[in-house]
Amino acid sequence: MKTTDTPTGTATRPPAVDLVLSLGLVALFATAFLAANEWSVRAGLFPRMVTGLGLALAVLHVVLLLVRWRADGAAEPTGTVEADDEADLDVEYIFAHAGGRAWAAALGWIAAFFVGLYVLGLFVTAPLFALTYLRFSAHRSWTFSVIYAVVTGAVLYLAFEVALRLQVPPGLFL
Amino acid sequence: MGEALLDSLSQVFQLQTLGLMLIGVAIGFVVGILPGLGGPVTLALMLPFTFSMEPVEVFAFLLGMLVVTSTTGDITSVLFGIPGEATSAAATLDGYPMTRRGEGGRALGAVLFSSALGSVFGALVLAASVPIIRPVVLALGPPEFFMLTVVGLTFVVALSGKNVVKGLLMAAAGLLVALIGIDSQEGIPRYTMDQLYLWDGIPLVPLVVGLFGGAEVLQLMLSRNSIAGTSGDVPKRITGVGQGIRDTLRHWPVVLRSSAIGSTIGMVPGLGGSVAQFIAYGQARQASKNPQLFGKGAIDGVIASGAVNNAKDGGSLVPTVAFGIPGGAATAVLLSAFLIAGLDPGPEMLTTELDVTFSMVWIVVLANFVAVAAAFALLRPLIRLTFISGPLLVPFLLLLLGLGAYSSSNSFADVLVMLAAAAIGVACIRWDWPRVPFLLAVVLGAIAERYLFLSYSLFGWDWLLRPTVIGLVVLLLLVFVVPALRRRRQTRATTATTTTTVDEDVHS
Amino acid sequence: MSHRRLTSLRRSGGAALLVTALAACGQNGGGDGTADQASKYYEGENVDLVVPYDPGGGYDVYARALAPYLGECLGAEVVVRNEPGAGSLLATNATAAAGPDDRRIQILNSVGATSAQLASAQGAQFDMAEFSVVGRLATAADTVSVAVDGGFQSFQDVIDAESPVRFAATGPGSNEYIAASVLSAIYGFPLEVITGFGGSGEARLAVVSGSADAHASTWDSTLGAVTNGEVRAVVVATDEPVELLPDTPLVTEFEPGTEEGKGLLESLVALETLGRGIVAPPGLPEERLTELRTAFECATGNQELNAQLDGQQRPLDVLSGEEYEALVASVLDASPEFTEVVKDSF
Repeated sequence: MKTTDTPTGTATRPPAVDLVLSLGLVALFATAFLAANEWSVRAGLFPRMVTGLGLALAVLHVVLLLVRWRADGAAEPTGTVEADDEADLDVEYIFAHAGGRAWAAALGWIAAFFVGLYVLGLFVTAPLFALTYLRFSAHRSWTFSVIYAVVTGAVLYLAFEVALRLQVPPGLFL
Repeated sequence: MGEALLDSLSQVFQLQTLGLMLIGVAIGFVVGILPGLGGPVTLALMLPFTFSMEPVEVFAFLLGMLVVTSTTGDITSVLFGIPGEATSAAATLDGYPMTRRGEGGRALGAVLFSSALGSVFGALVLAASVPIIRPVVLALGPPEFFMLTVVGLTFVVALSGKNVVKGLLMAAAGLLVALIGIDSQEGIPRYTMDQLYLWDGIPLVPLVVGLFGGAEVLQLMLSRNSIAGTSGDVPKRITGVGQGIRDTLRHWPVVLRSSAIGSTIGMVPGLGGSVAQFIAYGQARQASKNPQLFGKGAIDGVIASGAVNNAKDGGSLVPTVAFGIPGGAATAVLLSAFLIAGLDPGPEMLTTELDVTFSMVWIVVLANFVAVAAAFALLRPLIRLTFISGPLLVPFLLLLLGLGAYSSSNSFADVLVMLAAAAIGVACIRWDWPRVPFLLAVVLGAIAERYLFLSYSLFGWDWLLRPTVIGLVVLLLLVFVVPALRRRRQTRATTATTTTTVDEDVHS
Repeated sequence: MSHRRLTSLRRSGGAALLVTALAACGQNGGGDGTADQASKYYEGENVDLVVPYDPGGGYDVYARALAPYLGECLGAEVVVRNEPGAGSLLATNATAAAGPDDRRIQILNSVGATSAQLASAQGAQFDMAEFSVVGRLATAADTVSVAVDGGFQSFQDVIDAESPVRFAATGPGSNEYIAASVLSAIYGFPLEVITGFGGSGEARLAVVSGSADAHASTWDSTLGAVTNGEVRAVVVATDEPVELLPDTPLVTEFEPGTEEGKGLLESLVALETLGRGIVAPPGLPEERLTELRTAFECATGNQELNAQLDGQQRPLDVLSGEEYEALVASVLDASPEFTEVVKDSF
């Protein structure tokens, strides 16, 4: 597993991501609050309460983060976080330590799958994705990938189109 | 009444009825495992087949199918981390981490066995409530329902994990999402961004599937490991199933409380299983001796989610049977089945047609036991799946995500909602923000507003003085505030050992 | 007052039927239609019958019952599709935007859709006059129900009310809301619509428990509660008696106090008569529309379908395409006063 972006262990680093996320929420709640102010009392009451509360909490969180950061900066740099014995199995750990290329590849495959689902529809995309993903990402043999793809396609078609007649993403050309 | 109980049992134990129930269970089994493809759609598809059936047969078939979906929905949640139903999200929280530790057998044993126990509890509630069903439902109105949503919202704190401010923020964001749609007071589209699709609000199934399932699939793609551990060595024997059952028995108070929560909340139209699961889960966490294990594979969390899920089915039948009010989407379809069977839901279900009502009780129990037995038989091959190489599962799991979302309203917009929810879910895990308060608030937010306005329009401020409302406030204080205070006192006594935790993920 | 007997009559080995039906799912049932003409547009094809709501509920039940018979008459495979969203506007907009080549038909909440158009409601992007009208499947006239032992015992009591009559409804723009506010405008009784209920059932429960005074909902969804003795149906907003509610007076039996009221009443009755329609996308070529209309008549004339729906207390009440088209046109031509009243319900 490649790990490229290893966060530095110094506690004086600002809690950048949390700050950005919280500031984003501040902006979100503020916009939503302004929008809510244009509605009548009955339609707007609850939204104003919710967004007002959210705004206050988001601001509070930003303040807390900054205060804690300064306090930590004064204090000794903290070491490791508690309880990470099974770290390499934890989802958090995998997300934090997967390399940029792994991320790009995974997101690319996901994007390909869903764009395919939209453009080509289920019955084309499912076998096609299975084939290419298994062959080129999972590095399986062509035979294996083809069999997997054919079985996937056939099962989907039989179950959704023939037996249950359920709606599936049809694609743009159908 | 006892006579009707036995009479209905003999009606259920007809060869044809049992046969139909088994077909229903088989269909429900598969449907439950597939995310999104849930109860309502399947029930509607199967409705035409019931035209020529006797009432008890209709319910054996349809109800058998319905109750089984919530049992098998948990299987997908535990094995793959993708909620098999919107009501199975809580089962992913601890069941999936257990599977990843290689304890899938134990988790499934616990979730299935507690499901079976929960279904019995729910069925008992349905049977026992027959004499009091109508006055009870009539005594409960929007004010009580509103108070229940408030009770539910307070669990945000318990479900926030170690950073309560983050939890509250996520809950506020969830409430904001819940506001999306046409408001029920003046018909104004709120935060719909000129999309008609959003007028009915954010659909729950794509949200749940994305929020909880998306991250797990991505994780599998990134790590390229099997779900349960690092390498592809499949253990010869799947162990732990028996231990899961023993765990369930050992944690019987969790089963009882969760079942009670499930069947009570199941009775409230609009709340239903998607709320009950988290309240039961939060409750189990509060009562647990090791609350810090929750979210990392706590067995009592798994047990709570299993029990609550199936207990709610019995509860949600109460308003359906007694008043013809669907407790949720699935019971709305079931309501059509009443008419097909030539029955009118209402008082006669509790008098002249009492045998049919009791037959439902038997069917809920029987169908669940059949399904759980079948699931135990299939357990080994299912758990093997979690040991095969992760990338092999990826095409299959992506399909589950896509189809699960799409089937919500047969629109590609559902898939987009799922993807957005998945992005939120991934961000939450990556930067350690809690997901559960968000979902809980989404579900409760819209209902809370509706019932608050209804309470005021119907009763003015007098609704605050209704005895049941006051009772719920007292309950709220007892159940929630008292343990919290006690714990605070305890932690204050033992604190100073643990320093203030750093929010940031610091791995060096 | 159960109608179990009917079901028992039709009972002929439910399990066997189910198994064969499930097995038959696999086979494509095409090619056996009456092929008197060579080119039929729908024959042998898949036709979508769109339900603009979630599964469950009247429109879904009607559509699912009709589909196989319509399929038989068309020689096509008619598949029910649920496309919920924005009340029913999303699916209705999609049908309006579909081309004549799309093999798509829709069951329509014509009362709601026409009201939305009259009120120029936000989000309604269709013109009822442009749909290719196949026919009316059933009526769905709104029926006002009150608590059995409440303060209102008849519709006259409602009309004579001095303080606001509290009608329960899901939200603005719903059929329940429209019916209540138009009735109030016709007879001049004071009205308060209480919105926010999760569904018709919940709204009715508020009437049963006495926290709301009245509830207006389609007659077929009210029927069960009436036969159960939970609510009393005091008026049905139509001029043709509803067979299954023989004791309920028609709205036309109550004379409005004003001339304007009389005009509004006429428009309301016409609107309510629209019921549950079947429409196809606008601009359908003549022969395709004829094909659909013929098949619709053939299907709705089927004894088996009629018996099946009668057994569910959801009978058919068919209007042919031509009649229905004329009816829709007359409603769209409503007086400005009526349009104004409908607008107030959104």
